[in-house]
Amino acid sequence: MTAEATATAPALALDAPRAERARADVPVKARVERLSFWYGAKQALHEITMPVHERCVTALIGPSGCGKSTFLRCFNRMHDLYPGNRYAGHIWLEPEGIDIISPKTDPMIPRLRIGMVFQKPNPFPKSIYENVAAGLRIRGVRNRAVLDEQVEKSLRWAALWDEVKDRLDASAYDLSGGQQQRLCIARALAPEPEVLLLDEPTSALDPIATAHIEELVDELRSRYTIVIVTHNMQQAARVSQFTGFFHLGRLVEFGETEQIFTNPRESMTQDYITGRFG
Amino acid sequence: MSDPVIRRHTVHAFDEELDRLTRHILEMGGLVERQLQMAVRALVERDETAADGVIAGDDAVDELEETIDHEAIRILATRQPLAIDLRMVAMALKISNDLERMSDYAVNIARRAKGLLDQPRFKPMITIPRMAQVCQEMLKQVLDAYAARDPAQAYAAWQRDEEVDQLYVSLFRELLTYIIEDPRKTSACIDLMFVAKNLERIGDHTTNIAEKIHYIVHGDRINRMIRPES
Repeated sequence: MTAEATATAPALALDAPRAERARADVPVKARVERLSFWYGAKQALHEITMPVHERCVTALIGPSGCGKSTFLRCFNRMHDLYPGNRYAGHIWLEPEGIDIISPKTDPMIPRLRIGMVFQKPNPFPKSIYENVAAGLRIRGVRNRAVLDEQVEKSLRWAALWDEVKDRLDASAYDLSGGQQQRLCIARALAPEPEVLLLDEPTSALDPIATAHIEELVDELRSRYTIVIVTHNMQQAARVSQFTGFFHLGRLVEFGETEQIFTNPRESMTQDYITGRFG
Repeated sequence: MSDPVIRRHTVHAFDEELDRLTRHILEMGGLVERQLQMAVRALVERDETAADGVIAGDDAVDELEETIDHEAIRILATRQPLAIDLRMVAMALKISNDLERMSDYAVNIARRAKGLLDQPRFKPMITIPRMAQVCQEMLKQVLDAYAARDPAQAYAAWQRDEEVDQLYVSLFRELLTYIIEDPRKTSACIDLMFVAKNLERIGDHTTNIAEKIHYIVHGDRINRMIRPES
């Protein structure tokens, strides 16, 4: 990347009150600073400030329409695909301090470094192998041996290898829902992104497939930074180390997961996680 | 927590289950209050019927503890409570355990009271009724605090344990002097020492409950530095 292509962060101290609850002793992979976002005239995010800690799982919780998916999608500039959308503030991606949402930053930079998995499995209409290899091919990898190795490694990471190793050329659509979701995770992992964004990855899955994916998230945490949106409180409590509670486009509370789920500071957080909302 | 007001759950059945759990804790607390009262009466008034009543009354306390265990486990399994709900359910399990132990101590007192029935009184019974009275007041206060989810009231009860401990230490010394004076009183003195020890333990379990009420409401511990452990 060139210097012109990226906006670089000044030495930054998170100064908003919510960020006080960041753990100073845990490294930060991304710093979200006063992030606001508008869908046309409608403001969907209001001055969000929070850290995304490195090699940790950060869970985002909150009622439907609270802005957590909008927030997640800022990280790989997905909103750029539609006209009229507007960002304000910064998402500094460490270690270089690139401002992901700056117009000066090429959106391909975060997209190459940040992987995403969606709520519904969305494999390409291709073979299992080609789904996983897709990200590598885009990056210009041609060497078959390298591709083979990376495809196998990614499928193993996603706990899918044993189930598909004998039919890599079969269509991705032949797989079950849970397998398709793990395939999408393998596809996201293949280029070895620095950050993995998971937008309700298990909401359409049965308990066994869900358990597989939670196990996977727990394992991946040793290598990647993960941000997961989930409506399942117990899942957020199980898989994450940090949790942010969103409501009406604002970050109501951010803190260590254990504190959020055993003793939240804000009454609104407590009302939400205990089922007393509205 | 910025706002201590507890709203009702969207699922009303969950509120009913938590309310039932609270009611059973309070019912159990009421039984233990009665156990303690009768045990002290058995001792002070040499009332054998009261002593037998305490011994027989322990079963009802044990049964309620089992009921509470069952209800709490069911809530954990079916509702997966979080935050204050989780603290409430987890502490119900521990508080019922404290209450169950307190009833056992009342039974111990009742047994000692029976043993002392045919022994002559060699001193006026002052300190033990005083200890018992403080314990009873503490227990009542802590149960009221539990019903009202009032940590200030729980804290007030918690602080009174110091008084029980001081009475215990002074009674212990006093009884020792009786033994030294006249070794024939040893057996009766030891019975009384055990009674005092049981009351002292009842005071400790009451402070445990007070600490749990504080934890339910605030999610942290009472600052132990305020009253150093004696």
